[in-house]
Amino acid sequence: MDKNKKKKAAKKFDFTEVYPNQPLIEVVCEVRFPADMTIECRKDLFYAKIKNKYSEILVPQVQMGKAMPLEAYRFEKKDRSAGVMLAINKFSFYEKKYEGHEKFITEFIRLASFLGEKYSISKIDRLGWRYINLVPFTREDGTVPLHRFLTVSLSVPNNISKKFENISIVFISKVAEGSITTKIESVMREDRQQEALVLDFDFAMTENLNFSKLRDSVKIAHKHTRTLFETLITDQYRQYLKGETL
Amino acid sequence: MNLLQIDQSYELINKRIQDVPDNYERSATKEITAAEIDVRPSLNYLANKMPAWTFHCQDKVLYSTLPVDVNIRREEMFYFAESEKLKIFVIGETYDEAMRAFAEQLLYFYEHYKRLTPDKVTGEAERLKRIYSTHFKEEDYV
Repeated sequence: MDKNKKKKAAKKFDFTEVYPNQPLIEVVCEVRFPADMTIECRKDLFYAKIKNKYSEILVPQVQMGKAMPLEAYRFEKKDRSAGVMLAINKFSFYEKKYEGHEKFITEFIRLASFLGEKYSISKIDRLGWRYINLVPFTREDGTVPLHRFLTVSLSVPNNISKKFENISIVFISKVAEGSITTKIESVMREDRQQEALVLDFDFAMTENLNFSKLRDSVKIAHKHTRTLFETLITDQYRQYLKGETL
Repeated sequence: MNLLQIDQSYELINKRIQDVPDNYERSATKEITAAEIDVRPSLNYLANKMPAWTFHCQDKVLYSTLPVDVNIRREEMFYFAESEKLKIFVIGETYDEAMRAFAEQLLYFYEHYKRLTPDKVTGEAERLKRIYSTHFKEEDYV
């Protein structure tokens, strides 16, 4: 993303704004660290610290070819609106009812602090922040009206139609502090009753990470992901997100 | 919408996604944050709000300058599509049928309020006439 685009995007939105019509279905932040055997043996230490809020225990299912210690246990809220995943080499916090990044980061840091407290984790290998959006749409002239929602345009030769019946794009871009995986895909509900665009943005950083400076890194990750989202959506879709509708 | 065509297209996407030789792995999906979170289960989720800008009805298309916030819900066997601001409430046996009925109602009200002269409207009707004349534009569907 060039600097001018970033500046323009920054003017159009406020990082603290939570859109009334936001399309987020899940927000997740994850840290990966060198495997710690204590986690495998004593997940109860972590659970004891969070069980008043994340009481539901979901154990990973055994799957062929997968190593069980690398599969995460989930501890979720009773209403399933948020939860924590923990395995020997990774920890993540996710929310389905997102109330803004400040609350999210505060909770993530609170939960992550238990890792440092109960296990000897001081090094981080990777930090990721992921926004998963589901944008329902109705077709226009039988095609996906991508131009209504996204500023992305696919450059194709003149003899190839730009009237896309379906879309599935994944690209990974290098940015100053890491990389962003962007996934745009048209999907249909299993009962074939509603179509939507999946906008899945995943920012990852693997350098200059330190457990004691986790909050700063998470803020950077959020900034990149949010900026990408704001740069990718059209003004008319932003109008809808802000509730400027008929 | 031609459902058959779309179904085939979605099947084609899935086929293409799986179409990677065994001794290769997909580099674009190798390192994902919290890969356990799969979007697929969410596809049972029915969004209850949807923006729409164009409405096709018979040989006409209505374009809106602002997104129309269509509320959609499913109750037992029926889909309800509604807009409180535009005072449209319709029902359909399928999602598409409800959306089609929504477009028909929208066009009906658009034409109805277009015909009414300003001295014939007051209160809520005045508000709706203003909305339809300010924000909607009609074109023949080619």
